[in-house]
Amino acid sequence: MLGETFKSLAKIDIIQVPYKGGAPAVVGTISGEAQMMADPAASVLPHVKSGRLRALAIARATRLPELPQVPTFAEAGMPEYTASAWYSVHAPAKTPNEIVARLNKELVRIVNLPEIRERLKDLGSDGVGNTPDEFGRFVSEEHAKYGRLIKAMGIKPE
Amino acid sequence: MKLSTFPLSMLASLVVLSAAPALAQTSWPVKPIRLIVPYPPGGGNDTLARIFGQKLGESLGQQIIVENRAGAGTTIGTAFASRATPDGYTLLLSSIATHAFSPHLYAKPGYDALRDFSPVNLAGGRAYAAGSQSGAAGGFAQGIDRARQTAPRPA
Repeated sequence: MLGETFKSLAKIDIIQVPYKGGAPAVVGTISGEAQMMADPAASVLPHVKSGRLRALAIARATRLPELPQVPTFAEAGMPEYTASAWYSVHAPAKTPNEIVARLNKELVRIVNLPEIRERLKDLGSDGVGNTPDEFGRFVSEEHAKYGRLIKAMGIKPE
Repeated sequence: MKLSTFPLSMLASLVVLSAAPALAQTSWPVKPIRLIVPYPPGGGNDTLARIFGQKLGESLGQQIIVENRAGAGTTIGTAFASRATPDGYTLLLSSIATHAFSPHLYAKPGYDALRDFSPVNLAGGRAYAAGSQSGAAGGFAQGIDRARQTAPRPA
């Protein structure tokens, strides 16, 4: 899906080769079968370090410390592509506010633990951690943004 | 029934009743909490869920049990979590897929992303990188140009 977003923003007719997952896509790009791929940075990092894959740009506000020579999409001329595969916690609606608040407090604390920061880094993830209200607003924005984008790309719900 | 004792006993029972819900909430959790992960075991988000789940369990004093329910672009597990009793014992490892992509890619995802859930926390993000074959010269702009030139045109 993030590949589709990239394609739409770059305004090029890339035929998206449907590899079953990141690993075959990496192999396909290394061999030249595919000209370009987009995947979570952590998956491509080992191949970039070994020199088989060339990282062109990263969807992040600032350059990844592990890949200091790789420009951000904004630096490379596509500032709209800030997509990151964010992950989060939700509870069913009507879960008591006290429980949601306590969970939020614990999760923010956990995300900031040095050992967790290290483990997240190994998985290519940045920790965030915000309040339930901030997160709620973010979800609404993302929900609306991709709704518009998916419609603009002409993708019909199945 | 003596009139003088009637109001007092009524008052006593009222105090007991109103205390009960508050007690139930402040004692949470009293049993393990399940974390629905709408991805198969071993994937990126599953691993992240287990990392957070373990730490959360330690601080809450109750185990967080990861329950993998993958399928239909994360909608199966997410729909399941949306119907769970909202008592704090079921949580969802949500993502850009569950709450921003799938709601628009599926006509009937089985849930309303905004109405059926309470947001808890944005745990993190995994930045996407674009890459190409290493022998190819130039940077991002050249990569795009190459893609434009070599990609087959749609019929």
